[in-house]
Amino acid sequence: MNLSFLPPAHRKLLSIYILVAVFVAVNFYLDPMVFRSWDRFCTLSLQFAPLMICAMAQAAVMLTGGIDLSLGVTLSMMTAILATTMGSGPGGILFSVVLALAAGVGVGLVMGSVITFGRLPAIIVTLAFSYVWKGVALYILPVPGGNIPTAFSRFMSGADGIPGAAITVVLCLVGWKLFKNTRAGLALYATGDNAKAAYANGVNIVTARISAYIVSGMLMAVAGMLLVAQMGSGDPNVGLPYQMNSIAAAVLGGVSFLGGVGQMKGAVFGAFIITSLINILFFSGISAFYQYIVQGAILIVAIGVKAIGYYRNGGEE
Amino acid sequence: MSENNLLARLKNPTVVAFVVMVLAWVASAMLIRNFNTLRYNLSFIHNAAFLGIIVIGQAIVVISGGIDMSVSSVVTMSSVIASACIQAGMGTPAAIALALLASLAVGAFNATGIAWLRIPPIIMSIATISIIEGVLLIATNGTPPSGVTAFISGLSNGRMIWRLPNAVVVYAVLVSLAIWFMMFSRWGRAVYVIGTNERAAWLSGVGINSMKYLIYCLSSLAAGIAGILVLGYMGSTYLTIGTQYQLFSIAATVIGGISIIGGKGNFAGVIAGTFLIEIIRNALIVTKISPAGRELFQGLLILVVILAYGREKRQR
Repeated sequence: MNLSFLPPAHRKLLSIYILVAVFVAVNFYLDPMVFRSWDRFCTLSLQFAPLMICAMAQAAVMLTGGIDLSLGVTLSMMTAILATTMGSGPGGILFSVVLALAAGVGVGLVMGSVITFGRLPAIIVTLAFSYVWKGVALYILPVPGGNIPTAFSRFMSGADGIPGAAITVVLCLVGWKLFKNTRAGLALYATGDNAKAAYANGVNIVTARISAYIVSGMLMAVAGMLLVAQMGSGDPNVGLPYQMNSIAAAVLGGVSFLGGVGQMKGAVFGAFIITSLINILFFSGISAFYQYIVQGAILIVAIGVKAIGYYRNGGEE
Repeated sequence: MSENNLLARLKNPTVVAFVVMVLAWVASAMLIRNFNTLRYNLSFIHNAAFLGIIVIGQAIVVISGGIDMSVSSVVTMSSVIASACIQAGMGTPAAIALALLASLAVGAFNATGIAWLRIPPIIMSIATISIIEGVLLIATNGTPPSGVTAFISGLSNGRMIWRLPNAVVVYAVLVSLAIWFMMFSRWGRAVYVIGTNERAAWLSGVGINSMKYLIYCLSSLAAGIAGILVLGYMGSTYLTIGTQYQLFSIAATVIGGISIIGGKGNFAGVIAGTFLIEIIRNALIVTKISPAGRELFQGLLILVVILAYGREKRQR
């Protein structure tokens, strides 16, 4: 099938686009109000948004060739920070948001530095840090609680007509697109694709790698904001499903473990597909216990499907 | 020349591990009350045996270049299955057999995803945790079973040799077998080769896929055995009984001198790693740190250990 009428970026995402269309259709079938009611659309977008941003954060790390196993815990930590510092007025919200973003930068800086300067595999380092951040989250908020001002929740869920969640996701995508075309963004992709070649060409791979983790950390702060808006409180234990689904979403969206390949919008679409899938499954009445099995199965299938491509290539990556 | 040899020997991570283990044991005996009684030490090696058996399996996986995060779930699953079978009236042999068979099945499941679906081991095993947890929740409906027999209890707690708990004897046997297997048998060498360079191993004719099945099944089997012994020790089980072993099994492996990247490490190091981690774990309990502090400490511990031992060669 000759697809040359599509620009290359969209060509790679074709299978994702088709899947997305399928899921939109199914969603519409199950819930016809979703496109006819603005309110419904806004609430729904808040439901989809946290995983979309998590998928972007995971993709940022995967683009450098690593995997972030601390993502779920970082998310929990962000909800803990936000829920305990938001207070009640707009000043409190602003302070809290800035604090969370700063925490995101800090988390990214620390992990990125250990991985880059310690020359250690990202998987193990992020695994170790997941316990560290868990400790921090538990220290800030030992049990679910905290307080989120209603104004914040209302903004994000679009109760007053403005779909804060959808706007946030779009802003993040736009921000990434701008970043991608800067020198730093190109350095990131180059480092992930072939670090030695990038180094030989004068790319500062140290800064590139660390910047990927910083971007990821900041995105996690945003994801935390969306999640607390949805939950109304903080929870130090909320992260595991997001951990697994973020990896599945990024892989589904075409981001490769090996680095250097993949687009953010792919990850966002992957997140959309996974959240839709989970919604559909629970719409049909499965008990909550099954969700653990579903999470695991989704992850295995999402990555396993890529194996088909591997075998088609005759056993070469 | 012999001086160089000694220095090289001393830098061997496994030697360091054993030395530190002895020092740490002495220090804890001197600094912490009751840590120098025979009673405490017997209890100490009893608990260390559980971790030790799990570490045997984890070490084999790590040497092959992978990691098995699902060991904690297999421990829980094995103890729950055995317990439930007994509660349902099945005999002890059947209960144990079923639990171990299920453990092997998990190992095969992991290996299938890793070998055929090309899923990175760490992710496959994390997915497996989720699936096992879901299955256990559904099967037990949230309520852990509570069947145990005198045989299982005796398997863990009985004292056949002097006053050593049987679990320790089981561990001693298993770890000796494992050391022989890894260091002196053809399959053990194959594991090391796979961990060093999988493609080279494949080109040299090593049956990568069947070895992976062996590796992950051994790991799950070890965790399954530990699960049954833990059931015997505790007398009952609960759905998070295995969680504590997850990170500690990895930490013990790396502390014992086994490289996290794979392909390197004296297998006897698992003994030192296990005991050292057990000392640390007991010290943590005694100092009564909060859950937050404990998590923080575990994370920092792993970081320190891999920073010390896990570096790749100088490459950007």
